[in-house]
Parts: sequence; C-alpha cells; structure tokens
Amino acid sequence: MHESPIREPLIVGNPSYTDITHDICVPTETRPSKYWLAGFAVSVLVMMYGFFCIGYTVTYGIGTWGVNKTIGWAWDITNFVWWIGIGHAGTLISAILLIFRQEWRNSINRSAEAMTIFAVLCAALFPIIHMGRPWNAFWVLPLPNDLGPLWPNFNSALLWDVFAISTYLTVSVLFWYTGLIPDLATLRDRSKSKLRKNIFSFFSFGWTGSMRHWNRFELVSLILAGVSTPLVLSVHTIVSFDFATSIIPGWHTTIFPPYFVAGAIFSGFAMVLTLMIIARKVMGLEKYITVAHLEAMAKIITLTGSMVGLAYATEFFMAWYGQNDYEGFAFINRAFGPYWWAYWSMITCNVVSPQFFWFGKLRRNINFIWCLTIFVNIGMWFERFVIIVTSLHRDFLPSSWAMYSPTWVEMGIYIGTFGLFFTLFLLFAKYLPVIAIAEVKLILKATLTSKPKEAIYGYQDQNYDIHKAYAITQAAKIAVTQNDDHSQNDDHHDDERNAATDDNANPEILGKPVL
Amino acid sequence: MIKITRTPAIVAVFDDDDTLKDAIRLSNDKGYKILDCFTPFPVHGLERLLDLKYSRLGYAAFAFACLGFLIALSMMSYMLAVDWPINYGGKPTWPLASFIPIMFELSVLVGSIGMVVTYMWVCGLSPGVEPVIYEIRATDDRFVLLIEEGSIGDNIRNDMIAMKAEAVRNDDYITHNFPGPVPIRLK
Repeated sequence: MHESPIREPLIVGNPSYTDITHDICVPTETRPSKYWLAGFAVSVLVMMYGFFCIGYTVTYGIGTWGVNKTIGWAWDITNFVWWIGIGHAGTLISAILLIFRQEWRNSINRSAEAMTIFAVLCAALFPIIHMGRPWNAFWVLPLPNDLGPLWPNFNSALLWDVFAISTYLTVSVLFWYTGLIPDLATLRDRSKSKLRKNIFSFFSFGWTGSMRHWNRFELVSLILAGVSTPLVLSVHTIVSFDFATSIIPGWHTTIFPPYFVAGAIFSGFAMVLTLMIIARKVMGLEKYITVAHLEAMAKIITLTGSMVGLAYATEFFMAWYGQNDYEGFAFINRAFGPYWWAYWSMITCNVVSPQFFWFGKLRRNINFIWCLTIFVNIGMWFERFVIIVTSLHRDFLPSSWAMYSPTWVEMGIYIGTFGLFFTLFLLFAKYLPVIAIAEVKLILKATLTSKPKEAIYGYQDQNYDIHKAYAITQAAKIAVTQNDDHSQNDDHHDDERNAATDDNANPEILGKPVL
Repeated sequence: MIKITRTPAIVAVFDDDDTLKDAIRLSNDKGYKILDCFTPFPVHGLERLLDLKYSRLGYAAFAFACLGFLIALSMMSYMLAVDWPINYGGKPTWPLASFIPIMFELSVLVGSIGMVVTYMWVCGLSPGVEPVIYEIRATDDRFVLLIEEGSIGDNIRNDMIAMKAEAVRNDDYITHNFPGPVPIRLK
C-alpha cells in the first residue's frame, strides 16, 4: 500500500511487529499499578454513591428531584442525551472513518468503541430511572401481556428510542467484539499461566489467523461499518425526535437531527481525546497514538463545533424569520432570560473554544487540547441543559412559569454514572488490549516505508517536517528518472518495490513509492 | 459423525509479509498446493495470491436484514392494526411512516447479528473451540505457510529455505468435514 510521504507517520519510533504486540499486551499482563488501583477504587466508590442515589430515588420517588410540573424533564434527560452523544465518537471512528479509509483510526478505534458501549450503558440508566418504577421497564417492549394484550405505541419517538438504543448497543458490542477476537488470540498465545491461557482461549473463540478467516473478517468489519454508519445517524436523529416531534417552542424544529448528530460527534471526540491523552501517557502508547492522531481529532472537533455553531445561528435566524411569537420568545429567553449564564457558557465552550484549533501550534499542544476538550464536554452538557430546561421553564401559560435547580440526588446520579463509566473503562484498559493490535500492524509498513527518515526529528520522533519530506521526495524522484536504466537493472531493488505496491491494481499507473 | 482429515504438510515460517508473498508467488509458479496461511493481521493482497473467493457474507447480511425488516413490519402491523387498533385522535391505525425508524433499526439489528453469527459459524469460531496452532507466534509476528507435502517434500523444503523461510518443518494439516465450529481438541 502506497502512502504519500507528505503525510505524517501514524506510528513513530520504528517498531517491529513483535514490538507492537509487546507494547500493547504488556500493560494487560503486569500487575495493576498503584495509580490504577487508586483510580479504580475512587471510580467504584463514586459508582456506589450513584447507585445509592438511584436507590433513594426509587424508594422515595421522583419528588426527591428538582423537577416540577412545568419542568418535567431536566438533568436526567440532559444526562441521557449527553452520554449517548459521548458514545457516538466511537462509532464514527470505527465505522465512518473505516469507510473513508482513514488509517489513523486504527490505533484509536478499540478504545473509542469501548467508550461507546460504556457511555450507552450510562445513558440507558436515565430513562429507566425516570420511569419511576424501573422494575416495570420491560413494559416498553412489545411483549405479550395479560392486559389485553396491550401493545406499546409505535407512533411514539420515545419507543423508537428504545429500539434505536438497544440496537445501537448490540451492534456496537458486536463490532467491538468481532475486532477483539484476533487480539484476544494474541493474548492467548502470549499467556504464560494456564488460567490465563484458558480464559483467553475461551474468549478468543479458537481464532488462528487463517487467511480464509481474515478474508471474511475484513468483509464483516466493512459491512458492520456500513450498517453502523446510518445506525449512528439514526440513533441521534431519533433522540432528537424526542424533542422535535413535540410542539414546545425551541424544540419543534426540523434542524434538530443533523444538529444533534454533529453535537454528538463533537462531544464524543472531546471525550475520546480527554481519555486517550491520559491513557497514551499512562500506558506508554505514544508511539501508536501520536500527536498526528490528536491533531486529526482536533480538526474534527473544529469541524463539528463549527457545525454546531452554525446550527445555533440557524435556530435563531429561523425563530426570527418564522415570525412566530412563541418561538421568538423561547430563543430570546434562552439567551437573555434567567438561564442566560447556561446559554453563554454553551456558546463560549462550543462555538468559541474549538476555533482555537485553527492555529497549528495549539492543535499540536497536548496540554492545550486536553483543557479544551474539558471545555467542550462542559459546553455540550450545557447545550442539552439549555435546550431542555430553557424551553420548558416558561411555557405558554405565564402562571405556570417556574425555575429549576437540581437536588443532591440528581447530581449524585450524574456523578455516579461517571463512576460507572470510569470503572468499566479502567477494567477495559487493564485487562484488554486498548489498541487494535492487528489493525496497527496492518498499517505499519505503509506508514513507515514511504517516509524519509531525515524528516523525522525531536523527542521520541514525534515531529515530522512535511516540507522537508516533500523536498527530499521530489529530489529522489528526479534522481530516479535520471537514473532510470540503472535502477531497472537493480533486480533486488525492483522486487522490493513490487512487493510494496502489491495491493495496487496497476502499480504502473498509480506510481511506485520512491523511498 | 465428524470426520477429521490429516494431510502431511510442510510448515514454512516467515518473519515478514513480503517474503511470505514471494514464497506464495513461487509456490504458485511451481504448482505447489497451498493448504493454508496464518498471519497476525490481514495482509492485503494475499487473497489475490491465494485465489480466495470474495466472501458471500454480504448476501447473508442482506437476507438477515430483510428478515428483520419483515419482522418489524409484520409485528407492528399486527399489534397496531389487527390485534388492538387504538384511535389516537382519529389518526390512521396503520401509520406506515411511523414504522420507518423501527423497521430500519430491526433490519440493522437482525442483519448484523445474523451476519456475525454466520461468520462465526463458517469460520468455526465459538467459545470452547480449541485452536489448531502450527506456530505459536502466528498471532504475534510470524507468517506461516502450509503446503501439501505429497511426494515432493524435499523440493518444497529447499525452495522455502531459499525464499528466506525462518523455519521449515513437517506437520499434519488438520481439517474436518463439519461446516461449523467443532468444540473438540483436534491437535
């Protein structure tokens, strides 16, 4: 596979295949570090507190929350939409970027998909708690029952959500696990103790790495990516239908589906960056998750952040252009009403802050990226809060206008879902390969062979001078054309090149790598 | 009754995917019968060299997706229009447009599950299956080629050594005639 030399290498430090296996597997094979244990203990405690708050809600009822008859949806649905959005980056990375052949996805897709699964689990908690009687949650499913049987209302966007989110969770798990099987086989073959070997033998399903299996594996990945792409768009579209199909001013807009999907990817990428920047440092995976990866994600954040900003502007424009008094009031009230601080926090975090990534220096500054992703996460939480609470709190009847503030129980549940998320993520990071080993090996040669070594410099080879690389490549090209007869006689050299371009249908047309 | 076949084979182990490709090209030229090939990652271009057919799993996925679509359509039609029609403010009791999201979701759900289960079945992957391992590092950094020995074992061995094989040894290639996963120890 040929790759342009002016693209930054996706793997630095020139590792061999076995180095890749070693670097990714060793953290799963050693004893957990003190930091991991501390982090895990804190996460479990926070999670327990969250479950306590859930138990408190279920025991005493939704009255323990700050919701009232005007604002019936508040923190819980905000958190639900926020967590679902966090999950969307995983599917974008694993599915959409696979279809677009973006090879930088190969070293982040595993952990991003894991985040998807954990985030969807956190999200799914909220509607179930909000039901008030969570033991009756199965009533949303069309199961035969002794009430008639009485069926759920398939016209309701809330029921579509049930199907969308359960499908999303199932397909994400399938996609994640299918990709995990070859890596579990790697762990199995490396394991030294009998117990470990048996465990990984069981979970790797007898994978051997036969070319026949790989052949099908690639097609299965591609098809799963193909169906996940519309699926991920449909999931957040349906989540936005929960609002858009109502007649509440501020919710009843057709822009919601694309606006929500862009926002979901925006916040998801921010969360992936927040966690990956820490994980690559702690687990020593800087070779595989390079600054180039972080920069690519930062660019996506700027793109989706700008889309979200455009959506905010369009909403305002439509509220004015539609000349509907209620719609107009809802938007003026959002920006200048009692919840102005939430609105302007949202604008600052979501629209202003990602614009800093237009500067290349900031885009490659890891500390800056990390801080900015925190702002994006906060901003996207505020976006859902603004949409939900400000649209509800001043409804058509001024006598029922109300304000909302959360109680400790609601906050506890939200904080508790962080505990759940981090508990699951820490377990994943400790016991499973956080990077798809096979997929990184797949791009190793392509990403290293076409790069002039002279252009790589700096600490741990993290920097790559594109201009220098281009100049060297051009010079080499001229040299090759001048010495054409000479290079053709060089049999050994020619063989290597043929091997390197084996995938190209017609290497003569597509051109051979020069270096 | 599952029939297990053992074919005497030459196992050639390579430490690079390009040398593996060269060895396969040579084997194809000389007419050696390649039984299988084990690699730590999906080496692109091998499927053409080994003349592997394009997998038909896509058709399976499509068939399962159609099944999911029909399940969703018939389920919702039966429940809302036949079994218990409800008058929601005079709206139609068979609202096809409202069915679209769930029809789509169930197509994706049944299609993906069906395809992944079919894939597991045809690859013989299942919890409890004992892998047949010819080279323990084939999931790490070694590329393994299995060639039928026949009566020309020495020729193959010499050719593989000439093609920079790191190790060449004899082993039995084990296959069975059951189409799905076989949870017994084969080796």
